[in-house]
Amino acid sequence: MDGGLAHPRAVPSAPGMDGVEVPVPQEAELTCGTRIEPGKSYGFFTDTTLCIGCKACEVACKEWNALPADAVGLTGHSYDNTGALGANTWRHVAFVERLPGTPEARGTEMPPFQSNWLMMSDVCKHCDPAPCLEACPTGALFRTEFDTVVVQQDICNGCAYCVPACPFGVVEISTGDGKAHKCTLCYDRLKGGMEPACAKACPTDSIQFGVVEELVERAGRRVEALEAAGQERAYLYGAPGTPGATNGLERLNAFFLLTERPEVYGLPAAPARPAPRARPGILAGLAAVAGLAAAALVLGVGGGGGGRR
Amino acid sequence: MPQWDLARSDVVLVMGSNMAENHPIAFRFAMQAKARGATLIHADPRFTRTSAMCDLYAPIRAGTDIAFLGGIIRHLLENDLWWRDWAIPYTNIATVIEEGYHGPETGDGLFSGWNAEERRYSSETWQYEGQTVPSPLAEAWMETGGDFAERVSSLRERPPARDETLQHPNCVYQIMRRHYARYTPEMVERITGCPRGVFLKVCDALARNSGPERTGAICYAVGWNHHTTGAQVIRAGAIVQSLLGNVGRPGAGLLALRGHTSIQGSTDIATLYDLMPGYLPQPHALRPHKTLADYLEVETAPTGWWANFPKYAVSLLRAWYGGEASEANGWGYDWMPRTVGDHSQLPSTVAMRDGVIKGLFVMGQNPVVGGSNSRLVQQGLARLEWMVVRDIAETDTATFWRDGTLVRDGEMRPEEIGTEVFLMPASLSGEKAGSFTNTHRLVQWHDKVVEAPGDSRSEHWFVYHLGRRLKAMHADGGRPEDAAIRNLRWDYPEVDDQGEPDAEAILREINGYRVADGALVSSFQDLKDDGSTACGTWIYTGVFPEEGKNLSRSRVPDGPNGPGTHLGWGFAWPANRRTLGNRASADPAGKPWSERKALIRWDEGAGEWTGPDVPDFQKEKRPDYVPDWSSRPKGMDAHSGAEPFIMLADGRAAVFAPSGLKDGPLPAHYEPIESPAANPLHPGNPASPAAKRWEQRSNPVGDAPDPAFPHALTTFRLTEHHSGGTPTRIVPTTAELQPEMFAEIPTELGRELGVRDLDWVVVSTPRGSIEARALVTDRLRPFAAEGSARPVHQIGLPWHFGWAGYATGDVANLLTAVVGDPNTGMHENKALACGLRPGRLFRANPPRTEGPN
Amino acid sequence: MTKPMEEPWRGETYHGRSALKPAGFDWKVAAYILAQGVAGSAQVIAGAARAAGGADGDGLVRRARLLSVAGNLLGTAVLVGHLKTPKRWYNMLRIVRPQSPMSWGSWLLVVFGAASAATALGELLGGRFRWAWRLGEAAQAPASLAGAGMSVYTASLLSTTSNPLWSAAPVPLAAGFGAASMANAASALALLQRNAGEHESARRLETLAALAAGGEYAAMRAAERRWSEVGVEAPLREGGPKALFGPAAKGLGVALPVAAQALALVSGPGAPARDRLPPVASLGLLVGGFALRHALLRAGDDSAKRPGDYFRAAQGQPNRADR
Repeated sequence: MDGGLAHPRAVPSAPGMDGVEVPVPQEAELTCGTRIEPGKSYGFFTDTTLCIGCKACEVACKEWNALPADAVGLTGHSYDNTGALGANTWRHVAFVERLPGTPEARGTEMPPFQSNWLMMSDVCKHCDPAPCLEACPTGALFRTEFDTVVVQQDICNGCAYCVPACPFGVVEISTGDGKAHKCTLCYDRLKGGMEPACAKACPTDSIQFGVVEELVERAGRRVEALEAAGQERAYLYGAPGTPGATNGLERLNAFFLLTERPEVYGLPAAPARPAPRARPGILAGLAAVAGLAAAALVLGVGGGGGGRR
Repeated sequence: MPQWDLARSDVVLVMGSNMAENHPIAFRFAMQAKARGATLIHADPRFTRTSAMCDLYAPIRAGTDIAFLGGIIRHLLENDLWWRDWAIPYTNIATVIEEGYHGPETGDGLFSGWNAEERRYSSETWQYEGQTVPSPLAEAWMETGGDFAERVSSLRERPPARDETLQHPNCVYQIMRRHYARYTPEMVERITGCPRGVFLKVCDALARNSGPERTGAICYAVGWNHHTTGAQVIRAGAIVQSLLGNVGRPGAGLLALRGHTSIQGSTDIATLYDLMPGYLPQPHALRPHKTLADYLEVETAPTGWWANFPKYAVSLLRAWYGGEASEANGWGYDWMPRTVGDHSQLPSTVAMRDGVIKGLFVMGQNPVVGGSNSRLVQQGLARLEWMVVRDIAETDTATFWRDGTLVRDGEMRPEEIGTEVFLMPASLSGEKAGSFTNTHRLVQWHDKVVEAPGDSRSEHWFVYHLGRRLKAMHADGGRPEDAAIRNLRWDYPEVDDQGEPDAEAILREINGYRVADGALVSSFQDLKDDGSTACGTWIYTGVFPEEGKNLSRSRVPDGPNGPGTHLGWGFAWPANRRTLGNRASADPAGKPWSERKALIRWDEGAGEWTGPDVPDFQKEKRPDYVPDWSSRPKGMDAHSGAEPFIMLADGRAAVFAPSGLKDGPLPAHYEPIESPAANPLHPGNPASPAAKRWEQRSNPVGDAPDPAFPHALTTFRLTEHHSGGTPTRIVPTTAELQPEMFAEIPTELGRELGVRDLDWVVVSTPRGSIEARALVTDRLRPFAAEGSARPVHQIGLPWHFGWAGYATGDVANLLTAVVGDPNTGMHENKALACGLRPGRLFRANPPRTEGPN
Repeated sequence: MTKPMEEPWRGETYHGRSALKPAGFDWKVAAYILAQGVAGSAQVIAGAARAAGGADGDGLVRRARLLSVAGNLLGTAVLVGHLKTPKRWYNMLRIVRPQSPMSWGSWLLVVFGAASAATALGELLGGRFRWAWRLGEAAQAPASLAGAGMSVYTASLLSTTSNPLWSAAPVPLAAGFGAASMANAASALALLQRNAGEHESARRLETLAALAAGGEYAAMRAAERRWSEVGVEAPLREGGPKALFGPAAKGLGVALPVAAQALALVSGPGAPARDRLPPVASLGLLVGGFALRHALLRAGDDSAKRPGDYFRAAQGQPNRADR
């Protein structure tokens, strides 16, 4: 299908229906046309111009990953009663109402693929390099063979350092088990050749799963198609060289197509990889201590003690 | 049309539906159309998640759909934007109507034929000139005076009178021009509140995408149905599509989005009281239905496909009755129960309240949440002797006696309620085999994949074993009703230790078979009226054409480069046709209107209709066939080769409906029964005069605009919850997404009342009040309204909530009224008037709190 | 039509909801930073005293070594206590992560703990066993070096995050933490020396503490300027952090010591105040040191909850590590 909506789900015949002539394919090949192999980078391209805010991704995620309900309650923030990503919420659909115009006519017209009610399914960005992973002192956070970032629950000791490290407020320590939790990009499903639950559940292909390089290319074509259709505000967030992939973050393996400034969706315009700040800090600190040590020598802190021994 | 065919539309108008929220999978195809450059339009009282995806959003006050659609019809006619080449041959727009006809424009809102005393219409003056046309719906028979069968037989004598120059003052075209003359853009704005500029953009988008090369689709759901004018709203949409040539063509159609997984299937196989499977009319005690012969005589249309009616009716009887059924007792017809009136849900609710109905089965429904006037429903339940609730959880209905509104408000105490409630656990779809029939009539099989927990059982199991017990109870009785039950066929093989009946055996019976040897039949053309065939639902014939071949199991898609009809995926009734009326995708000569929009065509060499879809036409009927009227042709022989719609008596789309409707042959704008606005078109009859009303103490109904109820109210569903809420409010991961009842109110009203997000408000109608938290939003708005100095604020209430489960809140349907569409008995929960104030309500017994915290 | 990124940010946030998660570092972490700062800098001072040579410093070196072990043990205990799964503390030693100050800290803690323990062993057994004395002396240099690291790495730990407040001023923050650690250690040792009757040594340490406190003050002023520049200073201007950062950290940690020492100086030799006020100054410095760390942790959590601060700070300037 054209317009960047291609979902090569349909195959000429359903294999395995009439005797098993072909090897049973990976399910992901059927559901999203992607073969999942170790050594390649996988991620999400979330196209917010296609999101209908159905939250199927949230439910599919919680069901597959057996995450408990947070029961945030009614927030009054449009239809968002999820609030934010967290230990028990690995997909979060944001809702922003922006209906311009007079009371009678407000919201009646939209530029192509621009919504007066923005919806965006947020998720862990699986950054490259990943600040949470770089912060983790135990190695519980690791980069998988699929170039995704996962917390090993049997290693994490809940030091919580990944929490402030994350530039997107994704990782959180569970008050239940005292470990850090976040999206695994369905590591278990990837191992089984299956598309992540959220992407598979998305009815409009707003969430697309695939090899990151291919997704970036597809997303670029989508931006061009939108521009051609008159939606000139579309841009990518988190793809290499775009907002979100800034200040040492080479790319976000889960990246987005947005039509408003990132802050509107709760994303920083130019997030930074924290790690480079470590060295200048420690050097300055050591210099201060060294200076004071020298002062101690000059002051003769060793003296004046009377030498009782 | 198949939902997936929406991807081929050039314009999609979603109206009366929140498609993205409530039909997200079908909406996928609308999104594909959009990606291909189609224009998406949403017309709705609320800016919803559907509006957010559209290019154009047309705000209309709830209950003004016909004014909006009528305005489109006028715009198309007056600006000559309709597709004449298609509509003149394929619709009855050129047909001449009886001289006595007059429309509501001259009758202050009344059509000709109004009987003020009985508050109903006679349709005699709506007929084709000199001919009586039977309804294409289930009830062919109408009260017309005289011998109905004789009157309609005139259709076999000559074709209906037509004036293809459209000059005849009583041809449908001229009638429609007069009828819709006042539906100008200015009037549309005055009634609906939609700015005329926006309205004209909608007209333009529809007109622009009509013609040989382009098609458009309209998607609707219960936002159209749930009005006292519901059937007429849908008619108005059908007229628009008929004028634009959007019937039977790729990417064209009027798509009814059904609310539940298999609600289409349950209509096909007859949950409605007045229908038998396959849209055959239920015998009626007060109609000429005494014997099978009588019934067949008056219910069989002389012309068109319904002339085959006796074959389907007799085959159905043969499937139902064994034992002593014979030609002499009408193959069991004499044992069949007769209806005596309106037994639909609304009057049944009133009958429970009045103590007429003593027992109730509630299966897959939650009427205290979903039924109109929930207080009346609960009062009715409280007067039952017994109630069986079969569901996957303890529903609000099952606990009305403990946690319900009557108890909460101190009206009754649980110990005063005598209803004996039986709660039976039901299995979910993955826990049983069976089929779903979706919106586009596609039957898809599903297998049982896991055991149901505990004592949960399938509906098949429950009904089958209930039937067996009933048969055992009536095995020896001497009364006629004993024989009626005793002689039913009820012999499905059991497939497991629990006694689950074989679902495929049921499907084989639905498909039909030869009585003599049990061989399955492959087409309804093989069904006979001589008792030699049995068939549970004639339209499904072919789903199981031979042993071991259940086509609803088939899962072979066309692939990305295929024709896109996916004939190998499931089975679409009838005869696996994907697009009904697809003869209209070719011109009268049998050639596709354009290659871009080709579907079927006449193949002169082969002498048959061909194409990627199964033709909805006699396969070998030549396009130039003309009936020989001297031979008094019957059935399909009375249709020419260029009359595309086989189910209609004259083969042409009925933009003017001479029969089948109880409230007029053309849609006219009536306000809801309870409306905050006056009707500028006919102030004497602002609301539908023929609407069904059941006023009583428990169901007070307001009339004229009432200052106590100055706002427009509509109820709606959310994508996060399933209708009555049972499957989603009990599941924490869905309950948390919309955790409690709320009221959507416009920013302007919030400002006026000092109400902010999450503040409590009380919403009231003549039936009572509920409380909810406010969501103050720009998505709703005030509308200028006729007869109201102040703007009318549109209020929206989700109706999913109740007291069971984790996501709870007041029942929106405590506010709605038991009033109904005269044709369908459908309630009017989508448009009424309400009052709103900040604050909370006093509760005698505050609700139990239950939740994950 | 322009791309949204070409338009200025007008203060939009997502419903005012935070875009970051607070770290949730509580008083235990503040106590850890203080304890390890004191322990680490005590070894730096011990090293300096040893380097200055002479048996005059033996008492100071002894107390510094023992103080560092005590501080280290206390610090480690509260650190493990702050873990949400404390029984898995040892997983900190599974890997070495050069990008993670938390990982450095874990290993520093090991090296420093071992070296400190060795120096303490030298103190405790050096009189009886020659090898112990040698071990203690040999461990002094590594203990001092690791101690310097212990004194400052916690600042780096805070600034190597996405927290708007912590990350805005990595250089001044680390300089400030280093100076604060030295001031706290010198103060603690001064108290011990006074307790042991070594008033002259204590006075020198108090002078060192004053110098360090001055450095800390200057560094934190620089940090504050930087926070104002970036626009993330608000959390330190309101609520609990304001009280901690202002009256507690600056009042007890800077103003009180300065006043006490000044009074002691002007009171003239022999006056009771001359020996009684300096311990007040030292205690004030220690309490102020804790308040400073706790203020920064609390304000950091508040900062994370302020999406406007984060979005303002993350407006696409070049990598802030350079500043």
